[in-house]
Amino acid sequence: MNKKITILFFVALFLWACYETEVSFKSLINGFADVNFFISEMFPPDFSEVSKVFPDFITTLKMAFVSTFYGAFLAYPIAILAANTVTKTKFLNVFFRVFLNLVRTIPDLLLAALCVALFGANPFAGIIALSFFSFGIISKLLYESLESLDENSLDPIRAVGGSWLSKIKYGIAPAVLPQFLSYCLYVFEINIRAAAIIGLVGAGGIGTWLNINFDLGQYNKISSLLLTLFLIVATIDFISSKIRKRLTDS
Amino acid sequence: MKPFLKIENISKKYPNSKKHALFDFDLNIFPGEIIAVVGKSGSGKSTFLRCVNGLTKTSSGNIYFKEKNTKSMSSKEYRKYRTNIGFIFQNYNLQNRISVLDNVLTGLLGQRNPLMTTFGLWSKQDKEKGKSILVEMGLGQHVNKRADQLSGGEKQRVSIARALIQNPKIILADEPVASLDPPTAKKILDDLKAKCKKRKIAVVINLHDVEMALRYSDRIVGLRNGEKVWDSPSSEATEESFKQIYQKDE
Repeated sequence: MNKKITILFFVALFLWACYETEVSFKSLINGFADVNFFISEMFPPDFSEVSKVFPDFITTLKMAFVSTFYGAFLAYPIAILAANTVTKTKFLNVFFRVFLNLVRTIPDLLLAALCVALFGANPFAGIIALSFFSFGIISKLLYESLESLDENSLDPIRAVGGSWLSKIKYGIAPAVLPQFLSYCLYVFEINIRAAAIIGLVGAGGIGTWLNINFDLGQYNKISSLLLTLFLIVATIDFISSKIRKRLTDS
Repeated sequence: MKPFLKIENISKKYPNSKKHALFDFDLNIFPGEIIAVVGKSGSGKSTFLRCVNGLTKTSSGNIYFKEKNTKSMSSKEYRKYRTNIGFIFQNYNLQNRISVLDNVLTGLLGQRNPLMTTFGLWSKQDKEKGKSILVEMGLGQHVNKRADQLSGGEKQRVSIARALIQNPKIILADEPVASLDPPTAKKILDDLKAKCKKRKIAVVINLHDVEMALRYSDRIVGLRNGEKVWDSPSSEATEESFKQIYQKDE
């Protein structure tokens, strides 16, 4: 009985949400007509300019890398302050958790647009935006890992009169290092895609070329860029997931 | 001879528990003696050890170290007090992802400058001392290995080394061999006893195995439902006394 009510509830919720957001099959079908146009325009991909814009692919990777680094660098201390297993001051825990929630509420595209407005249309703006974005994810994941740490593992350091810093260096840091690195790699993967997207609002990298070609209606060039990006992302995902598996297994 | 550690009427009641885990417990500990605390699991043995070095807070009662009440110590003095106490855990509680030597050095965390140790800066003497204790414990070839590469018996030896490097007045050992096979357990206890006798370190050791308790201790203390029911030199402990400690509750 309960189960039926639950199912009914979700079906009703779904239909209501569809209605309110004006989901209609008619618009979907109509839209498909244009998809046909896009696809025919995109193929065959025109690879003539890929080598020319290749440095911008590299820029995108660099942006992803640097911003992951900044994000992680900031996330580590903040996660420690937010985790009640490590920092025993309730006020600090709550303060930094609310702060982290705020940071994660800001959509990355908005953040990128804001940074472009502040720092100009260049990769630096993108890096700042992505650093915030990385910081939000890594600190959240890390503080959750810290909270699930077995507090007994810190007993030996407490027992000998070790300080708060000692607990971090000899108790917590070694224990969460594999997870921390794994989160950084994961965020790096996301950042490559995100770096390409925020390029659309002028934050540098390959996104700039996607934007230009889109405006010029050169869809066969867009498809070549997307395929190249796909290859790069897939390769990095593959390597990084292998590394992450090794990190968390040991 | 005067006791250097006086435990006076300590009680411990955990929140959410109706019964006292430890009730009105007294014990005088003299330099260099080995005391075995025996009792069924749940009799309060671990609580007692954890209360002595403050890993668990007592609900009432006093502990005097060299005639100074630990309750009236400043946090700095209390930290100093803790450096006099080595603690050996049942499940070793080593930091798996750092080296054996670093694990041993963590025993000194309460006695060294926290800033220096946080950056891993240990003096040459400390490192040499750590190595020589490891050699003494028969672990000379494992100094730079990661702690998780060792067997159970080897890990417990590392944790003994970690306690010895503190130069403690007393070592508290909470079921140190409960996770080990009998031959290894015997070797570990032989070693623990020899090293502590040589250095005149007092030892309080929780054991559930009566034979081991008789064999390794100078004095036997029996706990039952959190209360002390026996305290005598090991030579005077009879079968009757163990019956009293281990009898079933009515």
